[in-house]
Amino acid sequence: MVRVKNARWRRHKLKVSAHTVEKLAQGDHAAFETLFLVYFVKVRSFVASLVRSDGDAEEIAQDIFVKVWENRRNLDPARPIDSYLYTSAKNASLNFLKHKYVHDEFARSILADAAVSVDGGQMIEAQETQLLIDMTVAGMPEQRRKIYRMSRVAGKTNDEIAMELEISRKTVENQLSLAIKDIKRVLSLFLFFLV
Amino acid sequence: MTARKGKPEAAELVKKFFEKRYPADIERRFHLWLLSGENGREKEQALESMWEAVPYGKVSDARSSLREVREKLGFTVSSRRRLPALVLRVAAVVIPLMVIAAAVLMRQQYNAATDSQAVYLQAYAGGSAALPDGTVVNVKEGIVTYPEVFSGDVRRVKFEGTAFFTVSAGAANPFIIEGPLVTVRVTGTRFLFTAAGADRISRVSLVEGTVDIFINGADPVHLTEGNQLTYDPQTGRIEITALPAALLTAEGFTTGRLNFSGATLEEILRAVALAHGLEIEMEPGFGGSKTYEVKFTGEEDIEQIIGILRLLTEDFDYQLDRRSIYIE
Repeated sequence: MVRVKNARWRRHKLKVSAHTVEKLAQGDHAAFETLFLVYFVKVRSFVASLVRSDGDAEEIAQDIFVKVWENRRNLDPARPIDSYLYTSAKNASLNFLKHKYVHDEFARSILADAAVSVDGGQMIEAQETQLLIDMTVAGMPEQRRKIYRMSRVAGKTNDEIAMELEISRKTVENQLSLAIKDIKRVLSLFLFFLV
Repeated sequence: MTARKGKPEAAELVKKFFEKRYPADIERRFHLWLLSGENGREKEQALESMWEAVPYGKVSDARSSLREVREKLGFTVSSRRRLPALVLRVAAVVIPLMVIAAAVLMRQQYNAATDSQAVYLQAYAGGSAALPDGTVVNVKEGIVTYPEVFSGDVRRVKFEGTAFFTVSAGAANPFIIEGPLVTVRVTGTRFLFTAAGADRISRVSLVEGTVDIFINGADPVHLTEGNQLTYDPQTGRIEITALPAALLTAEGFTTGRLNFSGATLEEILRAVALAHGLEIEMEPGFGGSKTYEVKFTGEEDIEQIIGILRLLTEDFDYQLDRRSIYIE
């Protein structure tokens, strides 16, 4: 007898059928509402995760579905509606962000430089690396983050950090070690040898 | 400090961004990076992974937004009556009706004779609902639409998909489930009902009691406990067979807890497909006569179950879509 435990298998989950999409394309309100009720929260959550504004995400997500209805005659029941909604959500989010940063002078310069830089590949790589490090540091527990920044950004010694934070030097060393492990883990092919 | 140079992965950046909030400057830098033209393919793959990881969420969380969108689009509530093509009359205990259906469309229709302002609720795949009369519906696939309050002498719901109904007793107030082709009329029982359209097989699997099944106005077919009736609308063929031993109780349908003892691989696969509301295509005698003891706890989905059976028995090939399992 085998007791089955959860295994890592792809879930078989179908939410909206081709039949529903076909009905929607024909102008069936109920079909549209079915699609909406099944997908709206997912679309809104995805957009919100990208644009970082719940209010804007709600507006964007609603507009996506308004457009689905307005373009319903072009829907192809043979194509997965999931992919269609993902593409719509992604494009709407990116368009929103482009408009958001259109008045950002620095942003324009970054985007322009990325297009014309002679060594654009390496520059983007460095930006990605630094961004990844910064995101990792921002995600650390508060004390660890503080110690890391005091050490690597402010250039303070472990003794200076220990004195300033009123903690032991051992604690400083441990937290720094953990911080560096965190960073190493996310930089998959980067190895930093800190001296 | 020395570094051996590698290439950080765009996927890691996107994943970390989705995981938590960051200070404004980091979020801005991420946005600018995302909008830049570099590593487009990796970013696309990463975003698609994040999309797949985002959960669907609750229907109830979408309702107020739906009201706003309906207003934007100028939708109004309309009254429409659907004419079922097939009527089932259940004499005593309702037959679990299993129709392999991929459709999740639930056409909302309002009986012109009832209050057109009635509030209708929905339960959809993966959830369960307690209806106003205490009836419990476990929805495997599809949507059940029901009124907030049952009025009149008849308890009526609309349904397309697969669900297990535990209908509260009420001989004086029949419970009617209207599907695209089949309408089931019951007075209190437990059954699995999968309602499909004209191009798919309807199946009634009776766990307990008896039922009369009316198909396209013909004389009723009397089905007894422990049996199942299959109706193929495309060929007109009606077939009655015994239910698998593992599905002689409601638990297998509602919880997915299935116990097989001395069952062949073919028997296990057929029962699993039935419990999950799927058709199965398989050569008769597939897997031979070797028998197995297997217990599924109900936590597994269909792909996990098939994966486990492949490990236990022989490594067969299969394909799975929203309606069927194909064993090769």
